[in-house]
Amino acid sequence: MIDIEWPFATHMDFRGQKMAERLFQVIIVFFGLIGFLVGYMMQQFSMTIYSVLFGVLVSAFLTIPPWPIYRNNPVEWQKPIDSKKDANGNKNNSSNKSTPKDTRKAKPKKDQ
Amino acid sequence: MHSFLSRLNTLFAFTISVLAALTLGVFISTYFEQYHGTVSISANKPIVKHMTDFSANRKKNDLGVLQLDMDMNLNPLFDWNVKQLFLYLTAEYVTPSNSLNQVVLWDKIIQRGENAQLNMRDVATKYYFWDDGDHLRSNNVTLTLAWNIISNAGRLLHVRADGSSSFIFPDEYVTSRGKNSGRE
Repeated sequence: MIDIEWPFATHMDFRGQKMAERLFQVIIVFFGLIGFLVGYMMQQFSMTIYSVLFGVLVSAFLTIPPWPIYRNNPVEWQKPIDSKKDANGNKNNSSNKSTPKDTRKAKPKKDQ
Repeated sequence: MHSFLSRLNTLFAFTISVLAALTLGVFISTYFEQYHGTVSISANKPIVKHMTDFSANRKKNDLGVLQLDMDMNLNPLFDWNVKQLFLYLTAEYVTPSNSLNQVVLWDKIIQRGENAQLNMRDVATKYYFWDDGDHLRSNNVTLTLAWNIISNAGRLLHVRADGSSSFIFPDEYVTSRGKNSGRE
C-alpha cells in the first residue's frame, strides 16, 4: 500500500471511519436509486450515470477530507510507562486526571 | 479508511460496484422487450443483366439491378438500453440449384440520437445483386428488412421487421448497350 506523507493530517479515528464509510455508502446508493428512476423515466441511461457521479462528488467532499466530526472519538492511548519515573513518581500525567484530554495535549502536532 | 488514499480507494471501488448493479438493473428492465416494427419497402424498375462476375468465378452470372423505396419509423425502438440499430435488407428467392438464396442489398447503422424515421425514394442498392448462376429472370424475389439491436448492456438481438414485399424480375436480359436504367 502506497503511503504518502501529506503535509497535513489525514487520519480519522475509528468511529469516524465507520461514520464516513456508512455515509458515503448511503449517499452513493441513494443517488444511484434516484438516477435509476430518473433514467427510466427519461429512457436515458446517461442520466443514471450522471446522477451516480454527482453522488460520488458529494460523498467525496463529505468523507475524504478529515473533517473534525470524524475526530470526536480519539483512540485512548495508554500512558507511557517510564521505568525511571516509577521510582520518582512525580510525573503529572500519572496522576488521576482524566486521561483523554491529557493525551490529546501530548500530541499537539496532529490536532487541527 | 485511515488515510486519504485508502478512503479514495474504498470510495472508488464502491462506486464501481454500484454502477455494475445499476447496469444489471438496466439489462433486467429491458429483458422482455421485443423491438418489433413495421416497415414498407418496394422495389422500382427491376432489371436483369447478364455479365461476367469478376469477383467470383469468371463465368457470366445474372446481375439484378433495382431501386428501393423505404418507409419506416424506428424511433419507438430506442429505449434506454439501445445503443444503435443495424438494419439490413435481404432479397430472398428460390432457384433450381439452391432452395433458398439470400442476398443483402442494403444496410444502415442508426445510432441513438440520430433520426430513425427513414423515407427513402429510389435508392440504389448498396451491394450488387449477383445470382449464383443465371436464374434471376422471371424469378419471384421477396425483400425483407431485419435489424440487430445493439444494447448498452445485454444480448445482441435479431428482429425481423413486419412488412415485406415481393417483385418479379422481367424475363429478358437488358444489354448494357441499351438505355442504362439506374446502374450507377
